[in-house]
Order: sequence, then structure tokens, then C-alpha cells
Amino acid sequence: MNPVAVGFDGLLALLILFLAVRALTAPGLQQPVILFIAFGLAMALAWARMRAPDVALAEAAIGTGLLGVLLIDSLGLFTRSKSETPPQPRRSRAASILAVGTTLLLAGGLGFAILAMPEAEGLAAAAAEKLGASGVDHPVTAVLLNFRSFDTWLEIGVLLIAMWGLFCAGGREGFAPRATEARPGTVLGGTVQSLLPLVLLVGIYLLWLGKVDSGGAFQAGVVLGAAGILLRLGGLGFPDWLRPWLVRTLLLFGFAFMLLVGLSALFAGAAFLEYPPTLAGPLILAVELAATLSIGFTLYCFFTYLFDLRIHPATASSES
Amino acid sequence: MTISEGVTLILCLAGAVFFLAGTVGLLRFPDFFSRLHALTKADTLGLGLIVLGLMLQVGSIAAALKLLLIWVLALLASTTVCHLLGNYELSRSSGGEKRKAGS
Amino acid sequence: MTAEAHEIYALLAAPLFAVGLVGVFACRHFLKKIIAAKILGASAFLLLIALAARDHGEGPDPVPHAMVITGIVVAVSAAAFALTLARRIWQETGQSGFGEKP
Repeated sequence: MNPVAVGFDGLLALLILFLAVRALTAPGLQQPVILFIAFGLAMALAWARMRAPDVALAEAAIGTGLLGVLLIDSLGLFTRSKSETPPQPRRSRAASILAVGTTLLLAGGLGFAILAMPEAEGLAAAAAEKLGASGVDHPVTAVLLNFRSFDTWLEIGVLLIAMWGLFCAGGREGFAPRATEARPGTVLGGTVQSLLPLVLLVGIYLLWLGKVDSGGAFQAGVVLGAAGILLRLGGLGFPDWLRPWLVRTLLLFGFAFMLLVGLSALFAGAAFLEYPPTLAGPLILAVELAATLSIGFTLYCFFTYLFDLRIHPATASSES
Repeated sequence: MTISEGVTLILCLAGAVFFLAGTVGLLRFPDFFSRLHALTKADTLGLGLIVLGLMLQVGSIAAALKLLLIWVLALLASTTVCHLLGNYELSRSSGGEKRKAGS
Repeated sequence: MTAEAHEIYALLAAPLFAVGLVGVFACRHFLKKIIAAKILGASAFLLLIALAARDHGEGPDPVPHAMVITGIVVAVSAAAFALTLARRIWQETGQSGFGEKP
């Protein structure tokens, strides 16, 4: 019953709602994208307020950081071409009223449903009870990599499928990352290069920290992916030794490794992806390491692929 | 309230004032460079004061050093970003003629 | 402290969901549609985490936390795929949203 805390949460909630509405109603493209990034950061604050630091880290790094970079990159593409003002069909007054009315109705109905929701026990007690046999001391890591490791495995599969989708939808050229000249003399390139060891250290630290505290494969993977993205922005593209087969192997590695661990558990007479309690700790670390590598590399590929995929809309519009 | 809590409060409030000043500057200053100046300088100092205030409250030296590291990283990032933005605006406003390659 | 906090955020999920859902249909540009879909997803995550914060004496429920972390990664993967599709559509047809004249 702390009025300051309630006031802060209320203000933050209003800010989040305002940013969401403005991100969708602001004119042009630049403002919406920037407002959306601000929305993501405000959401990260909200996660932290709800005692979910793991989610806050993931949201800030992936939901806002990585997606923000992708959106800004696309922004440049979509705004550079065509005429200065994109043709915006005027929306009629009736359509606007319909949109606002639908929003209010939906919000009211859902709000009522949320208020009417029954109290439930939740799984916190069950998770806490089994924590001792999970091999780690942090409940979220235990759920992610032991109790519900099947979900995590499928989620890495989703990353893989998304990358596959990128390859398919990307266009004629396919994945052909161009070699770029290193520009070590620039301020950005120099900063990135000198920061790289530290970024790698932070990634490994986060991975290790997942055993006892907020952190783990996802956050560590994002940090590693971010290191690659920074390198790309600093002018360093794919190194020469990263042949296409190696790229595919790295993308597939986490998924395949977890499949292998799961199958060996199956052959040993346990359930799929069930770890024996004595081996759980080392197994989780190995799985996390593989997952970190694949998550980081896939996120990095999302970016480099879109970044290096030079789609030339000018040719498309000049043809028509 | 102990002395260290009081000092923390004052430092954090001072930091918040700098953030506020930087944001007001960002909104009110007329041109690109003065806005950039207001934003990066005030925010750097504001973050520094808040980090300093929080360092007094954490129990261990390791945690305090981590907070300090955050500030140093933010310093590096904001310097680099400021330089990039300034360079971009300079090259844009002068029609790209005076753009120094690789600076 | 968090007793009120989670109620505020649980209620925030309702208007956020509505804004996102209407935005997915009402916005024309692909980029804005993707942003709307992300806001839609964020509202679902918000509700999950707000419900997980209901205290039963054990601290926050880690299961929804893990689900949401997984969900954030999946949402970003989907968004990256959508962005690639949007770029491709634009390259092929010159359209930046549905229902535009090429």
C-alpha cells in the first residue's frame, strides 16, 4: 500500500498505453518506429516492476534492441525510395470512429474479463519443490532448460524455421553476404573492436549466471548476436572462413544438439529430454552453451541477412 | 535515514535533474548540434550521478564495480553515437562535399 | 508493493490488446502492421507476467516467465520473417501495404 509505488506504476502504465497508441497513429514511418522502441523500453521497466528481471532482459535485448535495429534498417529502405510523401489514402471519418469504437469496446470487454478472472494456485510452489532435482538454482532457468526444455527445444526450432523463411522470402540472390572492407580507422569500427572482448566476456558471464540468477542462454545468445551486429555495423561482415556449410551448421547446432540429448535420454529409458538428476547440472550447461551459440548466431544472421539484402525498390517502381 | 541514504537521495535527485535538463534541451533547443550537445552531456552526467548514488547502497564491491562498468560503457556508447550523429548531420548539411572519408 | 502493481499491469493488458488488434487491421503500411502485431503480442505477455506476480508466498511464478521469454524470441523471429516478406513484396510489386495500387 505504498502510494508512491502505485503512482509510479500507474504513470508507467499510462505511458506504455500512450506510446502504443502513438506508435500506430503517428504520421509517416520514422516516428512510429522510434515510438515503438520507446514502448519496448517502457515495457522492460514494467517487467522489472513485476519482479521478472529475466523477461526484462529478454525484452530490452531482443524485443526492443534487435527488432529496433531491424525496423530502423527497413525504415531507411522504405522511406528512401518513391516520392517524398508516400501516397496515404485519406481515411474517412466513419472509419476512424469505427476504429476508435472497436478499440474501446474490446478494451472494456477484456478489462472486465481480466477483473472477473478467478484466483488460481499457479505453479510456483510445484517449481520450487522440484528445484533441488533440476541441477540449477534459478527457478526460471530450471523451467526453461529442465522442466519445460521441450518448449525451449521447439523454440530454437522456430528460430531455425524463421531463418529458413528469411532465406526463402529474401529474393533471388539468396544468402550471399558480401565481403566488406574493414574500416578499423573509423571511430565506430575502433570502438566496436575494442569493446568486442568485453562483450564476449559479458555473454559468457550471463550464460554462467543463469545457473543461480537472472540470465542464461537467451540473454547470453542475444549479447553474442549483438556483438556480431555491432561488428557488421562497424564495417566488418562475414569473415572469409565462415563458409556457407559452416553457417548452416551453426544455425542448426543448438536444435540438433538438444535433439541428440533428448534422444539419448529416450534410449536410456527416460522421457524425451529428461535429465537424470545427478547429471542435470552439466547437461544443462552443455545444452545452454549449444543453445547460446545457435540463438546468437541466428539473431546475427537475421540482421546481416536483412542488412546485406539490398532490395532495390527503385527498380521495382520504375518498371511499373 | 542514515547519512549514506541521504547522500544517495541527493545524488539521485541531482542526476534526475540533469536528465530533465537534457530532455528539456532536446525539446527546446533550436538546431541539431545544440540538441545533441544537451542530450549527450546532461544524460552522461545524470547517469554518472545516479550510478554514484546507487554505488553507496549496494553491499559488495563487485556489485559497485558492475554499476561503474555500466556507466563507463554508457559513456563510450554515447560518445560514439554523438560523433556518428554529428558527422552524419555535418555531411548532410554540407551536401556531402566536405565529408571526410573514414573520420 | 507488487500486490497493486500486478493489478495495474493486468488491466493495462486489455486496452493494449485492443489497440494492437485494431492496429493490425487499420494500419496500411506493412511496417506499422508489424508494430501493431508486436504490441498485440506484448499485451498477452503482460497479462501472463502480471498473473504470475500474484503472490502465493513462493515469489513470482517462474513458469509464465519462461513461457514469455520463449515467446519474445518467437515473436521477434516472426517479425523478422514478416519484415523480409514485406521487403520482398515491395521489391516485386512496389506496394508497401495491402490494397495499394502498384
